[in-house]
Amino acid sequence: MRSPQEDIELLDQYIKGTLSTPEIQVLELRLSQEQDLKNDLEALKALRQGMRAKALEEKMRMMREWEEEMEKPEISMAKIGSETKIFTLKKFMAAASMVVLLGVGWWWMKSINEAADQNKYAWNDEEFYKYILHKNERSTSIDVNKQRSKAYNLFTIQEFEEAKPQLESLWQNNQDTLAYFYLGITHLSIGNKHEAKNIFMSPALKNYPITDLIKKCE
Amino acid sequence: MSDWIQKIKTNENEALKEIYLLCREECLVWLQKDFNCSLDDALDIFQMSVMILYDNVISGKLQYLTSHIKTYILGIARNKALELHRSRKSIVSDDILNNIASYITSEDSEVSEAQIILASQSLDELGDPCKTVLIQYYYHDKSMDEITTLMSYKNSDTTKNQKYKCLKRLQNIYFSHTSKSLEH
Repeated sequence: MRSPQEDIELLDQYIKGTLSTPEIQVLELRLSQEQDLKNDLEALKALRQGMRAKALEEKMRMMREWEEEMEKPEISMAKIGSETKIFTLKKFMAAASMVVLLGVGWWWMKSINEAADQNKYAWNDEEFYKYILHKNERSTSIDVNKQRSKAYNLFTIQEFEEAKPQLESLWQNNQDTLAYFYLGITHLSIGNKHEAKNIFMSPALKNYPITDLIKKCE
Repeated sequence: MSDWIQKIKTNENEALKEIYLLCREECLVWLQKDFNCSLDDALDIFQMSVMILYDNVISGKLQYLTSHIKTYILGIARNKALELHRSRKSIVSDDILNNIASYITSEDSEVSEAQIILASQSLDELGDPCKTVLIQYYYHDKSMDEITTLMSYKNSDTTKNQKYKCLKRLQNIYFSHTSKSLEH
């Protein structure tokens, strides 16, 4: 900038449009004659727009910062969303694991049951009923209580699972050898051949028809 | 109606943020829906529109609002969106300064985009407090007394001298850049 301070102020006023008409005329005449003054005016115009650009640039950057601030919760939301997805995935995996476990459990139980079923002894009615001894016993005893009656009846209709605890109780609490005999047949019937054999081999049942039953346990 | 203009003049950043948040959603949805703009283009157009509003207030072009502030912003955004469709290319580049230089030259053909960018870069090199003094004087049209108070200078004569020295330094930087540009 080669112009003196006074001339720069004059150029400022000229650009800002605050000069009077006579002042403008004088200045424009000078501008047509003085190259340095003209160059300073051109530079001043460009610099002025540069200042404007700088001021506007600051506002634009400020707005972009606001956007970034606004995006932060969105980013958080996206993170939450991804966490939710992970959580959902975890839940899904847990549910899937449960299903698999239940399936495996069901299959395992089924296998055991199938194995037990294979061990179960399939009675024909004629064969089975020859081991029903309580009619005779009932006829000789007048002390058959309701528990015994219930247990024997369940055994007779081959509801072995339900009869089993009743028969165990009668043997343990009342030393009911017939109940113990029936318990052996019950174990044989539900596939517990080992338990059945142990019962049939018991000295308590030495007077019961166990020979064929022991063979069935082999 | 012109309450916003006063707000911008007294507390520009707070006012602009209020306007920004007030108009943002509606403007973005409208630009995307009615002008088939992408979200990025819509956002750039919206920000340019708020910037132009600010520029118009500071330059004194906008002294009274005859409509709602949203209508004014949408009006600017509409023109920018049409510009985008006419040019069939993004009106906004990633470089903020290029966009602003382009906007300024569309209004003032006396200076080129290159000159504006050089002048702006020269200002960055000049740094503060000179940058602030000059922007306050030339862009915000502040008086010497106002700048004296703002910059905590001794008196307006000091500010006047400071402003002259700053401008001289700035012009030297600017000329050094222009001469380099001419060499290339």
